[in-house]
Amino acid sequence: MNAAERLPVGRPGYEGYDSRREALIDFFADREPGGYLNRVCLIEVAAKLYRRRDLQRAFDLLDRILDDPHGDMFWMYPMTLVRYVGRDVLPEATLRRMRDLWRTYTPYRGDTENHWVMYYASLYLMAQMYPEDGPETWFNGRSSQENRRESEGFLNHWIELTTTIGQGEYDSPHYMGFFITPMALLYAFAEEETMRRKAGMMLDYLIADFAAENLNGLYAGAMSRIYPEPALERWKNGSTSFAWLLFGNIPFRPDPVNVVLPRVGYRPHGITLILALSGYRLPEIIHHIATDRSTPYVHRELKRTRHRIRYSGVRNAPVYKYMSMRREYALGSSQGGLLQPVQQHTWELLWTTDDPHRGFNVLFTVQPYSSGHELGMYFPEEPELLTEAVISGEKPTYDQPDKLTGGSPYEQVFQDEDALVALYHIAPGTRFPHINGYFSRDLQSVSEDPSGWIFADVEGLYLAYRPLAPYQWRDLPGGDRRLYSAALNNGAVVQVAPRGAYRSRADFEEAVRGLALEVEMERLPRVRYRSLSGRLLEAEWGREPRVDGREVGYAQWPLYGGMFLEAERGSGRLEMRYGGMRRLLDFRTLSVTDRVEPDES
Amino acid sequence: MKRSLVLALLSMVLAVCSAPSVRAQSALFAGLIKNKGYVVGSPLAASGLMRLDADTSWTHIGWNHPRIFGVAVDPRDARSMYLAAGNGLMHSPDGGRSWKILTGWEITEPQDVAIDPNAPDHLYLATPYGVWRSENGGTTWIESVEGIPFRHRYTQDVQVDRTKRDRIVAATSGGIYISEDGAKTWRLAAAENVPIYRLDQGVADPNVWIAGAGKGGVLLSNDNGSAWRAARGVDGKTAIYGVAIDPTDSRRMAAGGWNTGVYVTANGGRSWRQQRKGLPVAHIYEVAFDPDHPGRLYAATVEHGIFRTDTMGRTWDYAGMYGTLVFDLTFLPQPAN
Repeated sequence: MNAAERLPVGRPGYEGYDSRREALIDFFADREPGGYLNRVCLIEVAAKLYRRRDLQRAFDLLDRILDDPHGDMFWMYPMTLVRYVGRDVLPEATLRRMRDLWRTYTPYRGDTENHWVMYYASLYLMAQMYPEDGPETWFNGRSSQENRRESEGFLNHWIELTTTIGQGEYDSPHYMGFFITPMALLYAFAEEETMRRKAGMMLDYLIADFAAENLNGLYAGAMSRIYPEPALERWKNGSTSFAWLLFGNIPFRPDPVNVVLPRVGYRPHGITLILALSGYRLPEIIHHIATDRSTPYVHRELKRTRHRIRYSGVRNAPVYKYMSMRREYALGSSQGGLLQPVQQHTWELLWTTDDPHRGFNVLFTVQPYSSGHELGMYFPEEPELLTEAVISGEKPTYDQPDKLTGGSPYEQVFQDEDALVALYHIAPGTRFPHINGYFSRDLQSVSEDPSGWIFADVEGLYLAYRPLAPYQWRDLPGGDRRLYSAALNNGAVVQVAPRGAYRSRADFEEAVRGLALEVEMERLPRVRYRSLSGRLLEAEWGREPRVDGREVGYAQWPLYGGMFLEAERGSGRLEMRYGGMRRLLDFRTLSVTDRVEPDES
Repeated sequence: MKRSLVLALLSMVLAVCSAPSVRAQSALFAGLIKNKGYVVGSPLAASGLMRLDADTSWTHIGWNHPRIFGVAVDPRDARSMYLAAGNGLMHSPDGGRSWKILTGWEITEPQDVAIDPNAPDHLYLATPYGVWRSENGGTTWIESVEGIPFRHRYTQDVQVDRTKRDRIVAATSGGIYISEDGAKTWRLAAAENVPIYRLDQGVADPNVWIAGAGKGGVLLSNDNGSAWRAARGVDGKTAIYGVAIDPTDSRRMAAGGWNTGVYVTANGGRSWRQQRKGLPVAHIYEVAFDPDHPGRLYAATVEHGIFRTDTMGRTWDYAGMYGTLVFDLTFLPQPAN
């Protein structure tokens, strides 16, 4: 960051959105791109064009960036933005040059959902810009009409999937922005009313999803994709900038430059500008959902895996998410198993801190699974080649025994409110036959109790962690520790509680020691645990978990279920609730209905 | 045999004269990527379709693209080229000067494309989601998976029996499947639950087929794909990515895979030699015989270049493309001047 840069601040609260938006646009309009000048810097160009500020500098930067077109859909979306924002400002010669690049440069469509959504949203808008252009003017040999029709087909397909069986790259604090951005572009620039309306509704949909699972601006819970460093320092994800802009519940911090994806040159916070320029207004109800943590709540979601192409009987396996959210912390989980290659985050405890930019406010366990089998499930290359391809790309930790991200077929997790059971049944001979538990440097007074529980406290919570097999401590950088346990049948019981629920930590410990806990690890892992809530949790490897003798009901899991969001599976609808406020998104009728009911709370 | 002798004599004359005005009937094409560990969004070195023009000199043709998995030409017109690419199926009517993508968003990352020589408007795509067919030169496409169980639909290679219209052979993640009705319906032919990566059919003797399998070695058929047997002499636990039959002599075959070097046979698979000496790495992704030079074999290593042998692997000459991963290596007929 340039020391002379002034960070955007803006006023807090729902009413402060406009001031934050203006501050963000000014920040990028005044910013001089540093380092490698490439398509990432189109953000600053777009802001200058929008503000009509420092225009000659913007033209010069753009001309140089046009010399080196690369980046596939990551080139397409900022090019589209600049083309639309600059349509009345850019010199004619520059406009012609930009147009011709869509003939001479061939972007790769990519291999993930966020790639495709960006690719087709950009192609849709550029085809709209040049509606009569023939096939000879496009890189793919298709006319504007053909490109627009195909793009619309995919975008409708993605919206249908997402609003009926869940998002594929679900709840990724890194990739969230790459779904919001194309929707923001469509919302801002699509001329056809139906497409613009859909895009606006999808913005509501995606942001409401984030709102219900953020804790003071940090994305919490089980996730499809997260990088190792931001897994521990959550603020480094692009989602925090969206939280600042939309909710105002975390300070803005500029890019931790290239904290991830150094080869791509990605800066995670820049794309927030595109939403700011789109004209999108956050509905007030979503602001309240995002910021009101006065009442604890349980929140459930149904998501799906990305498309499986091998080793599976289904194209998209369901992901059952569960979140217990309080003012002091969020405990969230998915059911475990292989739900997303490489970057899966199956469960975590994330707690509130005074300084969210300090990081390391999480706890979780991982079975560090690594195999061509997992990768071959989702990528078309031969499984024997895939591991090397992944680790030589931007994900070098994939095949490391001490890694802290990734899913495992040997992991099964379930949760009831503030208690969680993680079981591991690791196949002999697997590459890294152990589990890793991440214990933050910030945990206070960690004690290994003779009862077998590990107790700790931090900020506003008490923590009890019960390893289900012998373990060792391994040091991590910065004072963190890794709980390493090599037993093939393994697991943990986690119990958390807000400080305010007990007079002292000793009282909390005493209460936990008194809880009934039966553990069977001989053949298949099995746990019966009476949690602090008084309910009986039963987890057995390979069977659906039970609470008080009843299965948790995966077959009936809602698309959204909880205090704030409700949606039935397959419905294409989402109802938001806050107090007496209601907002219904109905993708079947493409309608949005707001109403107020008597507040019963 | 007589044709082989003529071809051999011709190749000797060509080698001695090296007359620049003499054009070979076929040219070697490679679909490849130069970037090790390529990540979508990062700068891409010249990648895509390459043609070998001289010893180690390659010409880049068409799109710069990270994923060109398969190449084919229309048997009626060698200028009409098809690429199975990351973005879909691309077609050039003019030898690579202009391109059009023929498929929409429903089809992605096709691994191979095949054209029925007896019905050239019938195209077949092997995709990670199963086989797709077109009966109108690629204008419209139909998903064609009936008879293939869902978990076996990943298809890496598709070949059309050159002796019989509508007879299609598919290499799936769960075995070799055959269709007799233009991919409308399929039946398992061999290797149930074994992933099959590559197929090739003999030219001189179309009854001869070879298949490369994941952790399954090499499979052979001498009755046009009806019955298959494991190749004795090839480690049946290895993953074989590339297979080839010499178009001039179907007894001459080659195969290569993960840490295998190049397996060669000159007697129809009765015995195999494993050739590693002279290659910088034992990981082989593709092999291809030169139809214009009997016995000349090319092998694409994993990221260490393409190599050529005229001695069935006893000696190798470097043919360029160090650092690349070659998804497809194939000889295609060249248009007449």
